[in-house]
Amino acid sequence: MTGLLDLLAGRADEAVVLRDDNAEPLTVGQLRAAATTGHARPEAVVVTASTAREALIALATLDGRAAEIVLDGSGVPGEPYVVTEAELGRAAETRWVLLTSGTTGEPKRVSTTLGALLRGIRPGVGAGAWGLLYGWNRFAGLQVVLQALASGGHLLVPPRTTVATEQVAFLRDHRCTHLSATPSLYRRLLMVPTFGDLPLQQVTLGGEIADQRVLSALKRAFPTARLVHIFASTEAGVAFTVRDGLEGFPASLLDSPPPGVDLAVVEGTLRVRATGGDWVDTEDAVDLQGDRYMFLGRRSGVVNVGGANVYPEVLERFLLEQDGVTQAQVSARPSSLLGSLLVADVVAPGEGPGFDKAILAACRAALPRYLVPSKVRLVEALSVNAGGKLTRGAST
Amino acid sequence: MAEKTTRDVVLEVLHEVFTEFADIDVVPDLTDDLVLLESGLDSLAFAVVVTELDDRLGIDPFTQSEDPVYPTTVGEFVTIYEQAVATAA
Repeated sequence: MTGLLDLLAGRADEAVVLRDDNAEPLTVGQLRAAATTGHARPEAVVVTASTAREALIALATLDGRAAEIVLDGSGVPGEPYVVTEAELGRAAETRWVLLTSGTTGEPKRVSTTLGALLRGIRPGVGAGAWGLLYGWNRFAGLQVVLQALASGGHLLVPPRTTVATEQVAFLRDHRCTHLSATPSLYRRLLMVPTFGDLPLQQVTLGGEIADQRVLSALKRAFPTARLVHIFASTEAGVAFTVRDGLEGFPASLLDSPPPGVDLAVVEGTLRVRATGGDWVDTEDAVDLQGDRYMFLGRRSGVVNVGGANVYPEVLERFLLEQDGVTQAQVSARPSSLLGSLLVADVVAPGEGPGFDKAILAACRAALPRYLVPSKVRLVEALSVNAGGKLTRGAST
Repeated sequence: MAEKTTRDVVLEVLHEVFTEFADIDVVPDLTDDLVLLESGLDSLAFAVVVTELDDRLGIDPFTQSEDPVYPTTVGEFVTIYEQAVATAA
């Protein structure tokens, strides 16, 4: 059984976290000292740290001592839940409880262990400076934190800002070598002229559908970096990666999945399980095109337009293929006559008035009728949540 | 400039949707006796007109009316909105 502190074994007293909201760098020695003087806490504990630095100290203190740790990045103190002796006796390992957001809906509690979280992480691989653009308490954020620690590298936590130029400046100043983000975040970063100056060795995408355009743009910006496209299910606790720089994933993966993972497509959605575990429906709708499966979108996000079931993501992908468009989001608005209509918000810096009409005309010319948005709105920016995903909600 | 009448707004939106959204090559003259179903306005384009008018006039006669109304011509369509606006005022 590996504890969080074991990940730091053999490391000298060097910084593990560099600059989290202007705090001093956190060193291995400080982390070890905090963890060993902390009190044993048999009950479940809610970690409500707002910074990765605080969170790491709390996790190192509690891992292996508390029965359950709930990871809550809100910074607002939560109610600790006291477990019974019987529950404690059963707990062979501290359970880490993640609150997953998904793209819509109520947060779900997903219970896992550090061991399971470390399954997809190879110690010693990818030593470098890992940039944390996700909330530390998200599945994707924890992967970055743990990978940075396990590889013997550093964790770079940019100041919390939504200004992409400041994030890029920070990552460049600290010589970030490994970056993990959603396609939405990368589209924003790619708009910063100095983004290509980052000395990246690995570029990891996850959390949303990666279209060919963003994959190709990243390949152009970082031609020598490894481009890793990760598909993860928090619920199943598994992930697999695609490294060929193409959208979707090869159909052959179903027959020869990565070790420890089983994959299947049933009734149009991707199902995954850790070998020996229960199948989980990812609700990601996929479509076999040639020898690759392409992602259509979230089954739960399907919009009914006049009887046609439409994935907003399919229209988003088309919009992102149009020259001048850097970000796109499609939402549904209720219609008294047809159930729902699609509305497209598009970010297109450098395009003038009338571009909305040009985009609409392109949609009309190329798309099935029910996929043509009722309206294209040019917007300055789109908002993303702490998980780096576009914030979904009904259009107003 | 005089304030736009309901009729002006309805015709303006119809014209916009015909131009930008409807699946047709030539935009017809929007005379009162133009039959909507023969004008090239399909159900999707028609729904777009109604939601756009809801945005601009704050009224959707197709949800607010207890008696469903099915306009045949452009003139009838305009009248439905004029009546709905008058009722709401």
